[in-house]
Amino acid sequence: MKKLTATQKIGLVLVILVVGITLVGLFYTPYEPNKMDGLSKNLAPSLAHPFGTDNFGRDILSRVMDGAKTTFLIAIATIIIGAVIGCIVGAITGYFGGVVDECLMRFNDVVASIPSILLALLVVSIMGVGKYKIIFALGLIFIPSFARVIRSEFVAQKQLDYVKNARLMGASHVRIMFLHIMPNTLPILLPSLAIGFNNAVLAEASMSYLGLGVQPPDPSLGRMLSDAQSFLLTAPWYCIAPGITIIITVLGFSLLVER
Amino acid sequence: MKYIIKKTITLILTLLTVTFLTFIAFEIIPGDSALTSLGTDATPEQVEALREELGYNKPVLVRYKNWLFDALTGDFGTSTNYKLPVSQLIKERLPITLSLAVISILLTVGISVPLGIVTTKKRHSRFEGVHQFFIHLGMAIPPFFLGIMITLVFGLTFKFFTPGTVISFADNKPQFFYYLIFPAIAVAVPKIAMMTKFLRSSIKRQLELDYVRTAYSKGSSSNHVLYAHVLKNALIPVITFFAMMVAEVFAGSIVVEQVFNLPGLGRLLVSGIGNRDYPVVQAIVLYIASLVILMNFIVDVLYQFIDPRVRAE
Repeated sequence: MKKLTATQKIGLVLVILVVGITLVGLFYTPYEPNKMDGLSKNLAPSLAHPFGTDNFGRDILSRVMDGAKTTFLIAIATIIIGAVIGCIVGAITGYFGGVVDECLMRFNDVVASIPSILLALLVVSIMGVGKYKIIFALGLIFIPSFARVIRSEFVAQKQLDYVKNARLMGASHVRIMFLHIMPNTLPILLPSLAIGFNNAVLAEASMSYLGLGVQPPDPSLGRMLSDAQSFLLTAPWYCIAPGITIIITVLGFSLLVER
Repeated sequence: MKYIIKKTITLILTLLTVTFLTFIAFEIIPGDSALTSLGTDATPEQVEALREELGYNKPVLVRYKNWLFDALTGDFGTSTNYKLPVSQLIKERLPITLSLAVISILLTVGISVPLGIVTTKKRHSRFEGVHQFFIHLGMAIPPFFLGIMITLVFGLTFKFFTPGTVISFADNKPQFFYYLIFPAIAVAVPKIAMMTKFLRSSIKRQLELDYVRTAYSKGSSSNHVLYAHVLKNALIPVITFFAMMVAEVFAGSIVVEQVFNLPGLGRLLVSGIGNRDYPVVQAIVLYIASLVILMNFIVDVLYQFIDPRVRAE
């Protein structure tokens, strides 16, 4: 284990903070996230409501805890889809090469040249909105970037002696690919997972902000920001908590994996 | 020359793939658009007649060819929601998105290049950690949240602009651009951070090379080495990154237009998705994607002239 740099330490603290609060939110939130209270509409932050309440009198801290859970679950599901399929595609094309590799990489270039949010919007416009659809849309979009990273690692690794050695000992291609080479791609794969997670959080937040992601009453950080914008004059604190949560999450992970 | 021909062929193939993808994507949607546009009362004969008229009974590839040739002449069909030609809708909104993108790009380049150089020069100071922190902070801010904060601080608190107002280019040109600066900042800040980070690592990579040591041993000052030798080389990969950035700026402006209530392509796209207005969505996706692909092509060709090593290959 290498010693962490100062910036990585800050990143670690931020990640622990956000993940910790979200984990607590799985079991306990100060108030029921969707419970409306007509008597406490648009309350400014106070001891009872640390981040204030929204236009329905719902406690913003509770909703952020719940919304962060939704956002993180979507982001994790997204990178699992993207990474698993991307790794398999990247491993096969990088290991075997040939025409399939060439074609897939060309196709990859095409997909990579389109802004990812545009692709996500395209998929959503075809399939409709909703939590599972957004996972599918974003997962699909993350495949090429993982495939590319893993492929280039496989191309480099397959020349090395340990692979030839394993081959001589009679190991099958599948065994070499997934038991011998794949573990060696981890130093590259792990940071890509963190970056992918960040991009997924940002993408989900943008999509939900546009009203094309998570649907009410499920709270999501992006959705909350979109609601908060209508109440900038009466409840300016509404937008702070969800926005800061996104920033801390993304900042934490990107500082943590920075070399 | 051979290189340019090769790149042009790639460009055409890429554009064909993108057009085919955007076309086929809307073919696999369940449901019959002839049925939807006629409503539930339509008789089977009416539906069949409309299908025939719209050409839905032809094979997919024939329809793709027809659609592509129409698109090439600027005919993207009629919006099902606005009942207007899609090309007209795009033409009305394109200037706003383009101006927003251009201002954002100018801000990005204008700020990130000096910032990258200055912070690299001071990379051994004790503020290096602070530089890194702020770069990562910039990358972590979602543009739409920054937009909301700008609205809150500069719009509502300091009253530099009135949130929600739209100034048309024809009415008041200076005001039009003034109002675009705020959304442009929201789009640009994450890009400035990314570009600065990229430039810094590019300069640092160059500084480790032998020619830098040679330049120093000849007695050149560190400023001379940086500006006369290193920067030229360090900026070359930045050009590729810049092309990616342009794509990102367009993507960012889709969301930021929503924040600032700007009637640009992004808002048209988002409302098109909400209204299931497929010709509009198709056309805008195609527009932005082609723009980005063309940009990448131009950069590839530019390399030819800028970097002699590419020419030699």
